[in-house]
Amino acid sequence: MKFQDSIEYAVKSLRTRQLRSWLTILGIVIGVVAMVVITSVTEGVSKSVTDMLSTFGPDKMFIVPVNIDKAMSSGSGLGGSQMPFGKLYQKDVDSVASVPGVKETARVNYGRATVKFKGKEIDTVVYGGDTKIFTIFGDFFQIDIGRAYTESERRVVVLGYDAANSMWGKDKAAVGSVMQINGKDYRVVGVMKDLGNGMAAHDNAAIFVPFDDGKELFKSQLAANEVTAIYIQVDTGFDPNEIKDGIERKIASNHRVTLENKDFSVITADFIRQTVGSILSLLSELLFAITAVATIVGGIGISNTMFMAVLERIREIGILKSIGATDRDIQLIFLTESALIGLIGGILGFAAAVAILFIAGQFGVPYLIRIRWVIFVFVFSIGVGVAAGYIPARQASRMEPVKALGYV
Amino acid sequence: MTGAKSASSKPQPAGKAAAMCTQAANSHEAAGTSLHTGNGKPVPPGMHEREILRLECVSKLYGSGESGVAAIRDMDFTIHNGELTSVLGPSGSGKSTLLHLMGLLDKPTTGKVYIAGTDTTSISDADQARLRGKMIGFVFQAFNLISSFTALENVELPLMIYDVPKEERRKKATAILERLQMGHRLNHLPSQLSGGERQRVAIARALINDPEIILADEPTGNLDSKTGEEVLKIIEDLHQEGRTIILVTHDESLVKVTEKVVRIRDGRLVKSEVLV
Repeated sequence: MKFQDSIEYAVKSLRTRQLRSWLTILGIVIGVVAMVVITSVTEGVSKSVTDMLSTFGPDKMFIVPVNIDKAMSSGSGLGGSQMPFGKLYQKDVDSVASVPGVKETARVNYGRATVKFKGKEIDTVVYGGDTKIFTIFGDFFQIDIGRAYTESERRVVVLGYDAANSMWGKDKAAVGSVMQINGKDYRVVGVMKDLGNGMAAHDNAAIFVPFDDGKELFKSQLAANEVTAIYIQVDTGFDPNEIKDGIERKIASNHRVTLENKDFSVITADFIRQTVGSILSLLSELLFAITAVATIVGGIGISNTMFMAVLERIREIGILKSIGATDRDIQLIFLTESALIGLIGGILGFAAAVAILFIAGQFGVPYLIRIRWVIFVFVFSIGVGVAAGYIPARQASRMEPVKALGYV
Repeated sequence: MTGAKSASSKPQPAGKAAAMCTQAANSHEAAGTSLHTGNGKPVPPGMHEREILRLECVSKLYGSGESGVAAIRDMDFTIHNGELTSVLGPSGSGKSTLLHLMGLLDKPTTGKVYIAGTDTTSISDADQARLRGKMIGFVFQAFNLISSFTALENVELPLMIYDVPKEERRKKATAILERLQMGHRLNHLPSQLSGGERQRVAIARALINDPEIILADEPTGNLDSKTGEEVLKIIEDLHQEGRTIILVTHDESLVKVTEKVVRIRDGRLVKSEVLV
């Protein structure tokens, strides 16, 4: 029997038992959907991190008052002997500025505050930063309309894209509008570019005020001279890694801790890439295992259906043998049938996954579909079908014709 | 049945059967000429063109040792090209087993089955399957059509197995079904056909590969007498065309259309007659 004829035969057989065929196919569809959606989202997140990092050059870094390595390895910090959280102070900013190769520093405090505009009150993230944050991370904090505030200004605000355009219902907060932050009037001087749907999307809802205003807003949460983060611009011609080491040594000595027990982290693009990469690869391995289980269950479904098909079609097998079909022909017929179930499941599963990703994408879920997965999914789903159908098909092919015809 | 006169083989005591058979198998003449004419002489070689099927000392045992049952014992006969032979026996006589052995659906425990001179017991399963498909067309009592396939598709199936291109097999299958007055039922499923129609489809399927031998197992068994007559008429027509036909039945009335009858009982050849 020719392969193309075995396909024709398989299609006819599957059509005769439509409901069961579709239910079996559904098992594979679910596995494939899970696999494609999860892999696409993982890749999408990873791409969005990479995209974000492309605005984060090797000559930029920032310092946060937490030992991220420790915080991650000890979960919430409860497992460690020492809490990895510390504080940064103005003294640290001065030390950083004194490290050779550090061109600029900018201080930032951030927290949440109540913002009131046109009678509506919304609690959102407020950055209180030196105006240099707009130059150091200029690719990221891009001003679209208006301008950044200057060093000497007070009670002015730069809005994130959503904070200007969508947070207030149908009202828009344009440049020149006045809003109240924790009860004080602020004048809008600039609106930032849309940050898109990536990792940084949440900053679209943030607002930016001068450093001194921020200090006042978060007075109750901050110690004297405390800063939440320090942004750094490295001068050209210096090795960022050496500068990073220099900064770490200075701050560690300020805080009287060893480098192993440091209570802060100097974050560079490389650091983010490595950290996110290791989280994502762990996550994707875990998720892949889950989806593999889902697909194996789908494969067991195919096996089950094929075993039933063999039992139901014993007479058919006998007839085929009586008209000259060899064991190989019978095996081909049943294997083609199970491979076809796998293939149809793969195609439908892939299509469904693309649809789900497209819809989820509308809600800001990052995803990335690679063309080579199409091939992988098809090869994989056919493979599952063939593997699941192998034993039933062999069982069918080895049936004795006389028994199969129902004589014995 | 007027010409029926002689018996070539009488029931033997079970214990001696094997010994008898070994002797027969060793004697080529004895094995090849076990169908005899009324006067006890071998059929002259010129009467039939060639031997098409020969059973040589065939036994089929089910189980083993003390509890073993012999369905067929020491069966020896030859069928020549163009003969219409009936294998007659009551139910339980072993005629179905005999049909399976002749049709290569089953393997003898001992002895040999030759088809067109090929010792089928010494070839692989796959070669047996091919030989079965090319040389033998089955017509079953229960029709044995594939229920999910239309009449046309059922008839095409043997050609599909033999890699005949779609266009050609469609043409051939249509032509055979038309010849059997089934041209108006090509795209009907077996469930939409009457018993007689189903058996016509089954006969068309048996004929599609132009086999040397048609093995019919109670072909009228599931049909009313009128439809049965029609099917029998088709079988006679096929015989007139020169096909070799073996009709396995318990129905004495079918013997009238055949030229030869092989009577079996309890797995043994009781009598083989040439009806003139």
